[in-house]
Amino acid sequence: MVMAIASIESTMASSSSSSSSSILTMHHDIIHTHILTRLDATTLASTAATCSHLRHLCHDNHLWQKTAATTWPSLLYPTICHVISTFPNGHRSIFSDAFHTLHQYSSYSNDHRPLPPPPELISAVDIHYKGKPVFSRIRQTKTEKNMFLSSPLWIEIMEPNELVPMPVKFVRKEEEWIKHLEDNLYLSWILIDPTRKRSMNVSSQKPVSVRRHWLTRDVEILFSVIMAGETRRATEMVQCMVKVTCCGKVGGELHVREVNLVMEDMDGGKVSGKEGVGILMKAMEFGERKKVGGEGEMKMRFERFLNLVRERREMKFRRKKQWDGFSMVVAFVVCVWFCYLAGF
Amino acid sequence: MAQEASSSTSSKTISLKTGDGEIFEIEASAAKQMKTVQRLIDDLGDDITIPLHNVFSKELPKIIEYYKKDITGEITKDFEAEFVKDLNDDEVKVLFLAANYLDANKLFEFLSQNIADRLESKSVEYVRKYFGVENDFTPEEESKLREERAWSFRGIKEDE
Repeated sequence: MVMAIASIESTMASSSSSSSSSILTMHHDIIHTHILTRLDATTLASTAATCSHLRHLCHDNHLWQKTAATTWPSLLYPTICHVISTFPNGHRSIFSDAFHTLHQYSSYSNDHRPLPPPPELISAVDIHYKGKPVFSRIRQTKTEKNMFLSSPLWIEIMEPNELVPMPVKFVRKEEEWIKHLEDNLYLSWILIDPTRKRSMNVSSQKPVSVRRHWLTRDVEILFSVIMAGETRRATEMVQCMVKVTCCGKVGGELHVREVNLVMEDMDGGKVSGKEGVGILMKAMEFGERKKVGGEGEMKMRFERFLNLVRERREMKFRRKKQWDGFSMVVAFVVCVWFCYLAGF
Repeated sequence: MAQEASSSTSSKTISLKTGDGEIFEIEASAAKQMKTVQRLIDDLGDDITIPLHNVFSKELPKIIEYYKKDITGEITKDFEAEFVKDLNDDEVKVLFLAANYLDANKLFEFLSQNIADRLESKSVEYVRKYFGVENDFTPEEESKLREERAWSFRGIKEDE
């Protein structure tokens, strides 16, 4: 009977006496399966930095895959899952590349060689409302087609005529409701380059603007990131803008109609697919990923960019007027001269 | 002085003896939830006091309290929050290890989640202390690790 007790006890995970309990005396599997799988990404990263033993346990890609899918459910799509698992650090690299929005940086295009465009870009979009995921979709975009390169850069996530309901009530009181949306909506647009095995988040994460369309009364929610383009051109700075268009009836739910990404230059024009992809590639390779400083920082940058576009337009208009005025004066003088010559 | 389990009443109780010699009573249906205890009962019979060498008098009452509620189906989120509210990190760790030893699945899963919640957003040093590990990285490895996880910094001093 004593042997029975001993044999039963020896098959269990042994733990030391309660006074000096070290969790690590337990079998690795237990820590891995029961504690590590429950940690969020930040805590997992901290745990991996404690000691070499825990680092080894934390380097299992499945742990990172799980927490990545919790943060961005769109990463559960098999296509993306497969692509990311080919990356050198697997799903961990999505955190270092796309957890924070691409930070605005000064133009460096002259310092870096132009990068050839990838054959394909994958977009993974997730919208959260009040901290819960409400919309997740991916889109593969072929970036080598002539049509894509010569048209303005445009990536549309949804199918034509598709409507996706969101658990967001459409309310009558506009100002309060707009503020509510600004405070509770969150969008992440992760662009993935499967060839170079890099990614980046091109959304401001919180909206920079929520407005109703003057005619259709659709709700347009904008997320924007300002990034550097090519120096000494209208694309010296560009705005990468994600627009979510929603419709709905008051009292009902909001329905998402369109979710698209475009790029605008400083003249307010659309950047072409070829130039846009070039800028995005440089940003992905050399851009800094940083936590945005302070509430409303991204909104401020968006408004600054809008002002810049407006100022440039006004300056162009003034110059044109001046030039027109000058041309008129010259034409008048030439006319008078001809009249004089003709003997009038 | 081993107490004999009372077998005359319909709700059978089992006697459990902790590693420090104290004896606690638990209902047979609650004991069933702890697979280790059940195995011991199957081997030794339910009339003798079951010895639990690796569980002590500090934590066993708490475990019994949990399973008393479990067999009446009264475990709610509020109860679970209350259950761990006044426990410090070491006490939770000890319970976790005991639950593992006793193969008490429900309590074990609950405590796993509680530990994960307690570790959330804590600094590296805190997590080290919690797991009882020493930093065995070289300075070069440490700086490489910091770079790798720079994305996770919240700008608080603890992250250093």
